[in-house]
Amino acid sequence: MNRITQYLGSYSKFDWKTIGNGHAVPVLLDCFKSRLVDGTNTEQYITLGFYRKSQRERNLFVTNGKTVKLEKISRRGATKEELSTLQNKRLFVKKYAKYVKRGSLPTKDASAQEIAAFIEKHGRVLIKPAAETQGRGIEAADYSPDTVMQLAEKLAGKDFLVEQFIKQHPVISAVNPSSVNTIRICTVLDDSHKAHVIGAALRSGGKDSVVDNFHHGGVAYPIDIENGVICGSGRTNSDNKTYARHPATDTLMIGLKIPNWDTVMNSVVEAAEMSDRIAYIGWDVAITEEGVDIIEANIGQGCTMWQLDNVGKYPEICRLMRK
Amino acid sequence: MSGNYIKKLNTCYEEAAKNGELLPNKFNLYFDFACSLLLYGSTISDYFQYRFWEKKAIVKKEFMTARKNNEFYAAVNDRPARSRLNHKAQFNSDFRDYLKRDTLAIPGTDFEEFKKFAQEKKQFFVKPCKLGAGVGVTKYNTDEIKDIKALYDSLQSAEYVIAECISQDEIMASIHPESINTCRIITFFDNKDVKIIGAVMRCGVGKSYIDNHSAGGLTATVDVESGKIVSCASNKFHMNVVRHPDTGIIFPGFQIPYWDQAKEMVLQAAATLNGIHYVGWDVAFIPGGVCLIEANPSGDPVVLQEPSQRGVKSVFDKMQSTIKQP
Repeated sequence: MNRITQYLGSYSKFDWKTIGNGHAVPVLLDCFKSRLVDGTNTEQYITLGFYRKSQRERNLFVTNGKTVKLEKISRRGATKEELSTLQNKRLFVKKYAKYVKRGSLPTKDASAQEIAAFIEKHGRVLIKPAAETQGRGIEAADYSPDTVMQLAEKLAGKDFLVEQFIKQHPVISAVNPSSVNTIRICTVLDDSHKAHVIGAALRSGGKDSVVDNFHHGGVAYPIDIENGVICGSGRTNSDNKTYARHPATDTLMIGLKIPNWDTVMNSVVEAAEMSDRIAYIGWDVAITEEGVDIIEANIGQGCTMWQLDNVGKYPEICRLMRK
Repeated sequence: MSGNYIKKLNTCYEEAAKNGELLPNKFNLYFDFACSLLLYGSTISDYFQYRFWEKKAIVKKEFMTARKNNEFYAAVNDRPARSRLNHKAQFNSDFRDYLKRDTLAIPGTDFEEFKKFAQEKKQFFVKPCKLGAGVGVTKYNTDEIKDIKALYDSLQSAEYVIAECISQDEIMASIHPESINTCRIITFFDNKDVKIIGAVMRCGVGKSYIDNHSAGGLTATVDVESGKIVSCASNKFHMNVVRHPDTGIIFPGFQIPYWDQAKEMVLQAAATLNGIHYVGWDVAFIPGGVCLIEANPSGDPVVLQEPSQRGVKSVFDKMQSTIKQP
């Protein structure tokens, strides 16, 4: 029942009559057809503008259906261990410590005192369930002498990660000060274990949101990876509007130069090459004044964000990624 | 005539294929072109610059094409007023306060005046009065002219304007120093007041000293409020150009200088017109301010549609509906 409501819910978000230039039924049928033929879901069909694309153009885009195939290839030969290291936030920060600059405390093996001390030290923290994705369950907490012990006792022994709130670069913070606005950047490994960057997007939270995830009301902006510049309007997952200016702060986004872009590119390439087998990864990267901070890796990733520049990346990934 | 058409279609097809476009086979494309011409009034230029071979009917409908342009301009701009504005010498006379440079008109200039002008200015442009799209525009260096009388005599056969070269503002020059890089700012008078409905930046590439789209110049969309470029650039041959191929200037985010002055100038200029509702003003940027190059009361909206590959018919329809014809 839940899946049916979710399915129907994804349709009800959009104004089909306007999308279909006054006729909702043909475009709804086309959306359904695209689901079967291209492997898109409703949101992707709208956000990537599939209703405007001929089949010739649609074939160039990675869709959810095609991503499943790519992920299968990517995981070929990977051990359970390698998968866990990338999927579990706690294991991730340990392996990729070189790129994790923020203070980070796994609560599984920590005592309540240690957790309380950590929160006191950093003042404002994020509490993340180690095994969740898509921004689910993440909450912010501020240090308060009255409540910190209660919170610490709740977390101790459970699989959470308590993390220092990243102090992001002022240019990025200005986009939406309430959330850490991260970059999703996709890499693939080729046959010779060399990593290639496929595409990137800056995600920024909705007004007052602490998370920036696309599936949680955030707006995503395409980045030109060669120049580290936002090269197009933003999109959300829940409407058919384009956002040249960020809705929360009215900042004009197109043309925004991402600071420390060379460091971003070098870091994700290096990190990607640290994998044994996993070849197709979506990295979440925060930009700080000092450099970059890799938040996490996603081996099951959405493919809409880094195609918001309206360039289909499927042929490129097929060509580059190891078989 | 159909022979020429097929030849032009062929040339455009070959050019697109050479640029790496994934085209359907010739027969399919020509058939699709013929249907588009019938249904949407799109010419060969329209078909290729808007990549119609890739687009669905639902999307093609959104574009202003040649046929729709003609209908629109006939509805919103009076023919005599349009001709006057299109005529470069008449424009220079009507808008002399906005030019910020010296110009002459042929006929209307004797040889001595012409020679003195050439010697004083050292460089100048010669532009046919009634042609557009940069056609026939020639730049001269006085020192390189072997026989100035012969040049003067050659211009007597038609109408021309002679214009001193603009000293371009250094920020705009940084995009491509060899050309005067202008902005086309489009105004519309809806019978109540004049509004700016869109703007684009145009720049030359390579050795070209003109920035026109039809001459291969790059075009990018400008945000009317801030004067920042808010798209990648495009031209007849390339889409999604982030950096200028010669200077490396990054287009998205580039701030056009003196933007408020530019807006104020075109609004003032538009308010002086009679019988004209829609104009695309070509604005150049000089040290300390702006000046007008020319006005286009029937300019091709390719500059509004090509960088984004999105049609503006809905905008034009809305504009047209605000004009109530007597």
